[in-house]
Amino acid sequence: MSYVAKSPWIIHYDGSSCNGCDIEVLACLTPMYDVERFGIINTGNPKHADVFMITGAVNERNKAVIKQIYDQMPEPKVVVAIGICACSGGIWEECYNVLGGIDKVIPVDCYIPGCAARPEAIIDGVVAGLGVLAGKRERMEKGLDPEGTDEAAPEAAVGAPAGTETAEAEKEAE
Amino acid sequence: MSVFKIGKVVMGSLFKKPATLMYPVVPREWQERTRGHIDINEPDCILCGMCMRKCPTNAITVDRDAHTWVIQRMKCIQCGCCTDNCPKKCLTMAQTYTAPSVTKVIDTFEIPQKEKAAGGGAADGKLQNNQDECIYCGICAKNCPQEAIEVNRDEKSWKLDEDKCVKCGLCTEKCPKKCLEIK
Repeated sequence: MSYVAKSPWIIHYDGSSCNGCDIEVLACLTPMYDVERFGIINTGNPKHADVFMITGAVNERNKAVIKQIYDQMPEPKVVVAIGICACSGGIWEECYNVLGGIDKVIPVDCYIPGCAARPEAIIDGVVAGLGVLAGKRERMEKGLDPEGTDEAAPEAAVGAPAGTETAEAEKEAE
Repeated sequence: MSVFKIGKVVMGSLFKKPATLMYPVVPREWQERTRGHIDINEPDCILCGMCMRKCPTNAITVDRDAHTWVIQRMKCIQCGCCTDNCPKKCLTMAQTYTAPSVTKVIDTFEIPQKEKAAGGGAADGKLQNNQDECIYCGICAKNCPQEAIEVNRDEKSWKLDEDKCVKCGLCTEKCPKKCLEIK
């Protein structure tokens, strides 16, 4: 985790989730998984947050809320979809009121599968998301649009798995 | 007395193991029954498509023509319906969770065609019905994943579409008279 230069703060939003994934997100913040040792803090204010964690599928009612929270977050920002419902709609995909995964409304940078997603998977996924965040920050420093994919292709997609590998390498070293 | 109380807490905090699991450094050990992700043993798969029909999230696609078994990892909810219903038990629930990814991962598995034909065993025979014992109950037709069997109670007829039959053996298991056999 040493490559994380800044403390990424997260905002967690429950969009029509069954609370299974929400409990796992909160489990990450408890002393048992303790992501606060990496500087990750759950903030209630989107204007302070770097990582937007969403659980549950998108429906007509929470679509506007998700968009608003996303717009209020300062650049660079990453969106992490937690759980199968957030990734693709899951078992609710064909419901009349469900639009599908989070990517139907806002761009998603990292998908964390699982029903419910395990705390370990959430930690790995956020680490992958931080790789994307680092790539976006680099693009901003170059004066490019952080969300764009034009010239000087962001290392985002490449950076993320590399980050996971680093974590694994650290694991093995231990 | 309060000194002893505080002393007990302090000593406990000093010598007890930390509550934190130290996850990325210390890898997590999974239990035998942990539901992580679905694995397939390709040589055993007969492409019957039962998993595809039972999947509540439509995460699995079975293509009999292309000989592929495809799973969308970001749709699978690890319910285990496919592993429970697989007639050949070639699907298993692995313990490690599906890895998070920046893309929607779709895994395609090639199902070997030749090995299945030359493999021998029950899967290569032909489904046969002993019509002297058959009571034309139709349970075989109802359980056939490919709808290859047609039973007519009134005319006392039992028909098999051999092109559709995948020799999964589900009908032989369900037959109350045990008059069906794969030979």
